[in-house]
Amino acid sequence: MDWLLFLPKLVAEATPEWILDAPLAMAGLPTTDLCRTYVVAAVMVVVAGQVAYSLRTSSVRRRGSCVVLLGESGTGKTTLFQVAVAGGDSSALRKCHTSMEENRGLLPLEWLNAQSTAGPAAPSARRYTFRAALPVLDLPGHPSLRYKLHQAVSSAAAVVFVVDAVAAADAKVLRVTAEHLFTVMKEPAMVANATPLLVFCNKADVPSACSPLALENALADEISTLIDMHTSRLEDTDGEDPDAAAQAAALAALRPPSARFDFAAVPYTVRFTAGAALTGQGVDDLREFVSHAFAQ
Amino acid sequence: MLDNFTIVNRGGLCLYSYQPSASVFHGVGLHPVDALISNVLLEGHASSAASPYIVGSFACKWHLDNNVGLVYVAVYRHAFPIRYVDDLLDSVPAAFESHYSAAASKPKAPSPTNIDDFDETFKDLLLRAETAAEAAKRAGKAGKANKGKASEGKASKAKTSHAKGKAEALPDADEAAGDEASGDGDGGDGDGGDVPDGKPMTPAEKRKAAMARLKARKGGKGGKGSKGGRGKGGKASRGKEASSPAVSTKKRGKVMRTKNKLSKADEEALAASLAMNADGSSASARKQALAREADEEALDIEVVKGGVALGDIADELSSSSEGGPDPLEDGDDAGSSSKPKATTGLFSLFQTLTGNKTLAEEDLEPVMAALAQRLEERNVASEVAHALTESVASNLIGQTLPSMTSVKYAAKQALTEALTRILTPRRKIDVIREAHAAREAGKVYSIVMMGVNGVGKSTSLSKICYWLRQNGFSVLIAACDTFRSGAISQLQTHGKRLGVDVYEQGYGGDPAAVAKAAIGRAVREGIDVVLIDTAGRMVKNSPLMKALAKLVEVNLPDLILFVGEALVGNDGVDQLMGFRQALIDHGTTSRNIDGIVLSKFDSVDDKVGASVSMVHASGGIPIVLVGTGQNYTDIKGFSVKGVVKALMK
Repeated sequence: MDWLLFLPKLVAEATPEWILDAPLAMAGLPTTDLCRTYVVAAVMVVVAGQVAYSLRTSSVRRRGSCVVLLGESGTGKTTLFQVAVAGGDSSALRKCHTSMEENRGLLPLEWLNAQSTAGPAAPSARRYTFRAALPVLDLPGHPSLRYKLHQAVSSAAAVVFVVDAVAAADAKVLRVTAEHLFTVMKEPAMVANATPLLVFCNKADVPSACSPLALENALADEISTLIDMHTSRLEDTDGEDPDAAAQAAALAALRPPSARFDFAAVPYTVRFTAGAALTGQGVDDLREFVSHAFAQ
Repeated sequence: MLDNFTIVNRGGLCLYSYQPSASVFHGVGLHPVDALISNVLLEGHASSAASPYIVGSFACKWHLDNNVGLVYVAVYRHAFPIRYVDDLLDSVPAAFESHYSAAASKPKAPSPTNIDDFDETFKDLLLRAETAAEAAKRAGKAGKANKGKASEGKASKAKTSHAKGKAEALPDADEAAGDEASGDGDGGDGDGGDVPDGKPMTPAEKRKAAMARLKARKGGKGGKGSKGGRGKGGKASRGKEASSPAVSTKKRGKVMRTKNKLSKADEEALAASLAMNADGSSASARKQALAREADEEALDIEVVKGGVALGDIADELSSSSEGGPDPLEDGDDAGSSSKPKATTGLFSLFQTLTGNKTLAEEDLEPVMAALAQRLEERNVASEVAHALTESVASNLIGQTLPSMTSVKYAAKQALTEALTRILTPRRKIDVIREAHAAREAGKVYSIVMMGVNGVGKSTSLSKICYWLRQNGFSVLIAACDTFRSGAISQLQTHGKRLGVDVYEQGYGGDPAAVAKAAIGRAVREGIDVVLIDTAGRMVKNSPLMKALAKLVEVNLPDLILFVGEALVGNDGVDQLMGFRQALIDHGTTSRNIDGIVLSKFDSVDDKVGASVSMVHASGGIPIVLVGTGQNYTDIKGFSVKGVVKALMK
């Protein structure tokens, strides 16, 4: 017993007496050395518990709890954000302009557990459904604000990458989009945390919109080129990049065994879905995707 | 006509939009508001809201409300400037904020709901501003007809029309103005010239500046102010009585005038007369009603209509009508000294701790000056440093500091972010990628290097050549420096070492023709990339600049790189802008500089400011490559993070 109290005793002796006497006086205990030692010991136990708890939670769920909306400027992220936060209701949409700052909100989810996902809408399964909400972050797409991407992706539980399926028919837009998507995909946090990625092909209500399958193929082609080109990249003037090794590892994980890049071969889930934020189409897919990601 | 008025929050949600014609922006491409946000507000150019931002045929004026994070934008045809835009941008934010804090329980968190009924308020404000501007314009015309006698008349008219807020008030006002002008001829002609009819559209900034100036020249301006005030008094009395009061008014006017020339000592007398005028204006029954209805706000807006001189005083007029015995002094104190008093010492410390401190211009000024100086020490051009810090400050004023944050820290943080934003390229230029795409399309990729003498064009070119060769491209160098002796042999030496052909036609030829021939040869021989070296030239050398523009025009290169030294301070900006302007002036194509190669970067240590100067001043031309030494391998990408760190440490 004595050896257990050795450290608290030392601390208690080093601490001015009045600090330790105050709680003792309040509890009505005698102000002896032993009692002071107990006070210190109690404090230390609580602190140690806190530290252990925070360590444990951080190691168990390294992924954040946030849904991050990414994509080029003007693809409809903020509109999708509004619809998602409103629970798929697109009646009260506000017009959007280029964002200067991120929008934050809560994405209401019907968090379906194992039973309810197995049997679709069985009345008994309904009982296991409970409601939850996830924070959702809508990051501005303007290229000058791209530096915020790294931190956002690190704290993401799931990433939704919004593509303008109408504009992406243009080769230039497609190239820029692919570059952005590749930047997201090779983030070390994506690979390390296996963060699921949903590519939301927005504006599917417009007749000239590309299908998700066509976009998937086109983007895969572009990304194969990008991976090839990556080796030709010049070293930055910065020199010491702290997470250069992590980036290299992430890139290696993306590099396909065969010549062509394939989204299916990526070490985390990548799904493509068509939708239209303006009409609320596809938002259910998004919610389902997110709830799966969170339940994993 | 106002084409669009938009209130948008920083997240991009449009909270209110007024647009009389639904299709006005069809076919314009990017919506002017989007263009404004992405090209001006996000690029660190937000400091000068005084001049409108022009997109196509539209012009945007804007107001930032940083406390609640809102941006107010007014869009109009830039060929038809609107007089009342500044008034509108002044009056709408206050109205919207009160509306919105009434609607939402938490004023700080813009809730996009419950604000749909703002339309009515806005239209009312718009109508007021329109009629007031209209009235001011007409008054201006009358003033011209009466040879500058109408300065009083205008003030009274503006007041009348504004307080009424209706066009029907105008005939009365006109009458009054007419009377006034004839009655007060003597009083008016001295200062009539100071209030030309263009004044009502003076921007808000100018008014503020004038307010500051006013402090210095209180006496002189007081004269005009008293006149304006007296005008109202005179008109009010004339509304009921015959011409005899007009005479007395005139007399008083003259007395006032002489007194005002004596300046300082007469402030009290002036104040008294102002107060008297206020009484006078409320004498007539109709004016009484007006005064009650509109009181302070009316006076405020009248300021705008009346123009600079009248406006400044009318502010004080309003304070005098509140009963202050020494209105001029009061007005000044309220404007300048009370704020700093509140934010010094213990109170400020307390505010910092609790996180309730709202940033004011006075807090930021010293911090920003220090930051600007630091940037200058790191070789950022001084005008760029100031523009940047001003822009950052304009984004901070009115914001509430988070708890436990000092002003200095917040300012530094904001500047770091602004620098990162500015340096992050909007369009990433990946030379290898583009050359690859061109090769796949079966085209020759051509790169032109330009810059002043001795910045390292040929050296940078040889480095790029080496890099391209390393990545498996076949390269041809075109020696278009047909001007400086030895230039071609220098390139041939590089070419020999790199195993690349140099295409040359000797000295004295036309560079455009040489480049054309080189590209032609590359096409024939299936070479992937042509690197075109040009002669170094000074911006002022117009024949050489014309030749360069011709080279660009004839060959339409895929990539135009400007080579600039990392060592230069202010010069670098002038060089870059000079080249850019020359290509615009002498060329007919829209091709211009795509990117910057920063040479001699190894010699600057932490004085990396030239990069910021060039990118900021040019409106976002990115730095593509950086030269860091004498070897072919000494070429690197540009690290935004590293440069920002070096600037801010």
